[in-house]
Amino acid sequence: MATESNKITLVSNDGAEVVVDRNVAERSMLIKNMMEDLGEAAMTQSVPIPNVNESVLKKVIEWCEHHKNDPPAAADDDSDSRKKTTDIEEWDQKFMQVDQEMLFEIILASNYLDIKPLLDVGCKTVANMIKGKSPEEIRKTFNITNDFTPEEEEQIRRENEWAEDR
Amino acid sequence: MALQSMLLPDEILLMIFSHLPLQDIKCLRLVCHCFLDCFSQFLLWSLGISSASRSLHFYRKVSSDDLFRKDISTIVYNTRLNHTITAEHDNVLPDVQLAPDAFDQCYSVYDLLCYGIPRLPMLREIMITDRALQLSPNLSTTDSFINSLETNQAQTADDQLSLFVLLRALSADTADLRLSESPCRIAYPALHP
Repeated sequence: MATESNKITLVSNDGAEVVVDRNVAERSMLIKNMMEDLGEAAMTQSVPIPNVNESVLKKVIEWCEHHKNDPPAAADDDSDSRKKTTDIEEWDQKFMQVDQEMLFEIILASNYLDIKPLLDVGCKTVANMIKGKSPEEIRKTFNITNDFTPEEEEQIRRENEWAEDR
Repeated sequence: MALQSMLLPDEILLMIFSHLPLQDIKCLRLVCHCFLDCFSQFLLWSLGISSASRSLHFYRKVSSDDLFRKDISTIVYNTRLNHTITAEHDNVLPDVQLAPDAFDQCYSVYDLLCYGIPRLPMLREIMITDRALQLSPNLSTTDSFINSLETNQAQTADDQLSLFVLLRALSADTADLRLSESPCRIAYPALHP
């Protein structure tokens, strides 16, 4: 339930209540739409966030708080030019200095809550962890088992060379 | 915790890897089956054609391969390409099995494009240029395509003929191509011999 007129209460999947400014919570398109659907009732009752636990929810809200005054995403925000850069602003870089489990949880939560800029930062962070690494280094970084046979690996290497042959 | 064990949905994996250049995509394909299945589509989206036989064979292989052909969205065509092409028969990739087809009978750019276009379901753009370009998904819109036609320096008779056969190819069985809808917008002398 709301504690002040401009605040709403979110409830994580482990039952924790998190009170947050409505304009901060509405960085999430999911919550924003929910608020609009609920109308006045949104200010007097708790909003369940069933896919996100307390620690991740608080982390996401920390991001939303910092970015609450950001302008809306540009219309061409999904352009390929945006996708191909992995530049991340300094505050976001520090924000994303968490263990891998939390990083992936933030990505999943931002996807569920529909916070595209945060999802974008999370994806870029993972992309930066991959950039320039060999397949073995990528496996080591993400604890992935090599499930290829030597023959399969050789075939993929041939396909990769082919793609370069232009 | 591994990417796989997080069970990140494919849509998120695709978002992550859409930020990476081709070289990293190649490495990712070698990491595990999960990534191989997911990211092969990023391997190739743009296809360059030049007069080099290697390039022509690459074009042929890609147009025929189910892994690659379905994601090609752009062909970049060099106006310096000689309009007469004799197909060769060497095997760049002997492990790729190609069914006997009409390719070996192709002797012109027109035939070459007619061979490839029906095999490239995502093809939306053919760009003409006389310059080396970085191939990327951000290649020209229709307008810049027109501009490239107007600004390129293809002045020789062969170049004009090459353009002409390409434009014929564009209007032949290419219903999904943007440019096929308005070839008349391209005011080029070769269209009015």
